[in-house]
Amino acid sequence: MTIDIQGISKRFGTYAALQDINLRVGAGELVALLGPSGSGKTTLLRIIAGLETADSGTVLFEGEETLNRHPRDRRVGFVFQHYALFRHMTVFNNVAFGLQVRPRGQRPPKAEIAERVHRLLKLVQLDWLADRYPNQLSGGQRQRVALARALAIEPRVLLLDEPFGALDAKVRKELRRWLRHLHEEMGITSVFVTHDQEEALELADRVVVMSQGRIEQVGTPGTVYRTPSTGFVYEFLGDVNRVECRVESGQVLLEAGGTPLGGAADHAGPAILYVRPHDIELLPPDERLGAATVRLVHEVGPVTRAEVEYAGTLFEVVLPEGGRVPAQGELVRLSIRRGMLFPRERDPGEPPRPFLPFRSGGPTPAVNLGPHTAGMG
Amino acid sequence: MLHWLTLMADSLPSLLWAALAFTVPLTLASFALGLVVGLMTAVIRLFGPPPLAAIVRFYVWIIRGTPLLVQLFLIFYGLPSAGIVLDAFPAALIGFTLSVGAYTSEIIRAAIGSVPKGQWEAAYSIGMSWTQAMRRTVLPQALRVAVPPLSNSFISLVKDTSLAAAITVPELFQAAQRIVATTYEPLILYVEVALIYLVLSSVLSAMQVRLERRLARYGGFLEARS
Repeated sequence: MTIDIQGISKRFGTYAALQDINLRVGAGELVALLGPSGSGKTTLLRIIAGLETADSGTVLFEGEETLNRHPRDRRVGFVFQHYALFRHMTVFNNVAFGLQVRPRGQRPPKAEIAERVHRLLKLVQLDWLADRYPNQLSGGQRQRVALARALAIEPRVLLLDEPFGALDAKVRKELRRWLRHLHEEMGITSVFVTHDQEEALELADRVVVMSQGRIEQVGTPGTVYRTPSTGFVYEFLGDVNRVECRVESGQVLLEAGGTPLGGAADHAGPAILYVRPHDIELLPPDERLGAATVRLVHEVGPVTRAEVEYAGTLFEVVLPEGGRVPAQGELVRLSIRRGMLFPRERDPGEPPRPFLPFRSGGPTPAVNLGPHTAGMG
Repeated sequence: MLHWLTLMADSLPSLLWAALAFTVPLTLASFALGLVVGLMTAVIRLFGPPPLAAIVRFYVWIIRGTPLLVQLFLIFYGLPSAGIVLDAFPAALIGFTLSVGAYTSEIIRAAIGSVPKGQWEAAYSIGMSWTQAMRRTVLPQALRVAVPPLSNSFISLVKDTSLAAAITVPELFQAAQRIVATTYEPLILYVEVALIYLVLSSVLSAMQVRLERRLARYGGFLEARS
């Protein structure tokens, strides 16, 4: 089933939680709402579920207006961050409850309810815990019961609010993979909220990046990661160096000190350069360019990171696997291979400029940018 | 000593009869009716329209702010002047019901409020109406929180029914007073009455323990989330 979100706005007092949100979720899609806390992602999810009302705008399910419908009539399965299982009932009854409370005409016979509940509990691999109470289960098990409970009512849409937020890292990864399989199997249109970029990129068909009540970017995990359309998305999705600089005559200069880093076309003036740590290369020092100093080297699992100071600015660098690891205090040359420039003042929707790296030889941009390409010491 | 024991034994049947015929029925009936009033009052205060909520708040204020004995006198001796004449037992029943209703409404209100909002939302999201959510998920969980303070009210009530003696209900305490009037043995009789009240409240305390144990099956009190 498709979900159309049109012009949704919501205020809490003077605080604008959502501002004119427009989004279409296709049938069978798995969409992630990704953003920091306070970005409005949970509010949007709750509006879709009917647990919160919007100030303006509308939500259509399969083209049909839903906003004035009570949550119970929307046939939306909702999975809460803190599970919200009915703690006075066994696992079996938690899952069966949604079917047991239906009006007599729509209620399946007892045997059918039991069969369906056991099938769902098998699906979430908890059949053996049917007679336990929620407080006798681990966090991961509770969340799977919550999922089975949401699926029992055969929802048209499955909404998950930070479903793995309260779980530890290992369980979270396991459940993530498992949910992906489940979605592929059942194909229910699903929307989940997360502040974990890794979770969003791994799980979702499409990622909606939100900030301060607005949508920053919508795209496939690959698109939002490789070509972020705003500085916010760049910073939120993965580690990134945020470098204040200015562009003069086609050269990108460090704001502090004016050291050239590379080239840029179509822009002059202050800008912010975003560079991912693995897009920086450390080369043997070169007298003409002024050396950078390795300040810190630390290994995190398989990845070796270095903090490198160049002309008074600290850069975070991820070293290629298997390469030589420089020593602390060593002099190196810092070469930025890829980056994105966001002019300080730009119209909303205006695309960022690509950063043009120097040719490997020296401070000359890889493309000819006119006369101002003099080398500096 | 022997004199004490024979007097106690001789008066026991009529005292027990008064307890069984008046004290116990008055306690049970006014507590049951009071709970209904308390539940309705709590629900109106939490979810009702503001004018209605204001009325029940006024009711709770009046009942909690005036002595129970004065309320009983008003109902039994005062109302006839306004043309409403009640027998002693119904008058006591009304007085105690109103009192129980006011006090337990606060307990029930707090207990309902202690059930996390997520429980309502979870109930709605699997297709329940407000009434279903209230009856089948919120109240059962609120009950667990409410049992200890409600038991308090119940045990107080058993003893408070002795006030009905003042409006001519022939309950346990009044029966004792009558025997004292003929035997002139207040010490023995009132000790005996106190012991009977003690037995009654002990039975109730034991019932509370059993009920709590039953309700605790599905989890400890300290667990905030499930």
